[in-house]
Amino acid sequence: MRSSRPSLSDLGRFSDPSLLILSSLASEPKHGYAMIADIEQFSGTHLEVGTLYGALARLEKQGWIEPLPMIERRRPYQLTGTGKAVLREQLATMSRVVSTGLQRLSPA
Amino acid sequence: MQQIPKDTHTHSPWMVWAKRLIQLYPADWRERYAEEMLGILEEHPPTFWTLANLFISLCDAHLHSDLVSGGMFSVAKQFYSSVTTIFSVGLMFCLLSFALPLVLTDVFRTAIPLHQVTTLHFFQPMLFALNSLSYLLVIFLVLCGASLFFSSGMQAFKTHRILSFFLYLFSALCPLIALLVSSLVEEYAYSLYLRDVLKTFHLSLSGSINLMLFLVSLLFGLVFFLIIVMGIWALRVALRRVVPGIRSTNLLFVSATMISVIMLVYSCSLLFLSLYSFSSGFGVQIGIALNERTGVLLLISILLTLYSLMRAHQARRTLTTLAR
Repeated sequence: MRSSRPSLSDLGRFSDPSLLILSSLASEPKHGYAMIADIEQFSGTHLEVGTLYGALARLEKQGWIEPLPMIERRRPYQLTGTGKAVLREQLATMSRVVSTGLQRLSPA
Repeated sequence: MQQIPKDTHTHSPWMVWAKRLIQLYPADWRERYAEEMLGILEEHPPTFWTLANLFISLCDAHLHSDLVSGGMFSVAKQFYSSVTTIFSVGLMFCLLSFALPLVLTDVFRTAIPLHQVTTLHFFQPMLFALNSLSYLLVIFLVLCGASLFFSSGMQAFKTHRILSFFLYLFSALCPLIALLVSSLVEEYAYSLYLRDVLKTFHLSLSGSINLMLFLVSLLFGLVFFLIIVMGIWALRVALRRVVPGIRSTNLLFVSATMISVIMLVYSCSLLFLSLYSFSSGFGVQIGIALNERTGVLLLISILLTLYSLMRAHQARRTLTTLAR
């Protein structure tokens, strides 16, 4: 059953890149290139420019991230309060899935 | 982070194509993200997969152009763009709907006098309904034109842009002018016909083509077409000079939606009439000919209707954003 609360799954095929972006922004505000490098470093996934900005546009529209003033052709983005809540909830769900999966895999 | 010198990549073929693709993004999207995207591409050289990804994102950006909007002005601009497109499409549809009786009755081949062409549909409920829809379309076109005029024409008048004011006024009144002038042309030609002035032109070419009817129909169509095209042109020129204000928005939306709905009802009725005529021989009984010209007319009307409905849907979405 779908929850009426906003969640990353509302973003369709952009839900996975969005999770990576939100996780990247969780530590500090970053601009596009820094996000690509950070995501590649912590997840091994290389986000292409088109996908990055498709996801950023959706996250901005949802009000989960917000742009900061541009510095030399680079615009940093930061998480909003709602964005933090959505990320926390998504990570908690994933954590439950991970622990349940690991528990069931381990020998009884 | 070491920045890669510009010259290394700006001339690479991948970079050239990446720039071209970014130029094809919607204007609001480009305004918002192009600079940042190019900045990243200069630091991180694009590959074939970057281009493929940019192309997919380009399609996505066009399909979801409402994701990025440059504030209320941009949203209002999108709304007015949809409405004026519906208005223009409605005008073209109007021309098509008034041409329908001439095409249906196949006047050029059956040599039916022009007065019978205009009176024939009053005896056939379906043709009468189609004809009434054409007049209803004119009413809503005038209403839509009037709303545009009050939201922008008056603004032009107040700011002393008299040319823009008259362009808006003309585009608002052009459905009525077209109807009036073409009716006058038709009546005048028919009165000449009655007085036997033009009877000398009532020649039979290739056995059954009525030259007089052909000339009058051509004149009728040309006058109508010219006025409609001038109306669309006037509206486009006026819009470049004075951007519509927010006044009369609801009336504009209602009339634009009604134009689309009337076009839908008209196209469905025409489709029904065509299918019914083909299956029952109804067309032969009342002397109307359903041929390739009717088919083309039907196809054009369906395409115009679908386009108009799509723009009405866009207008509804942008109006919701404006209301928020």
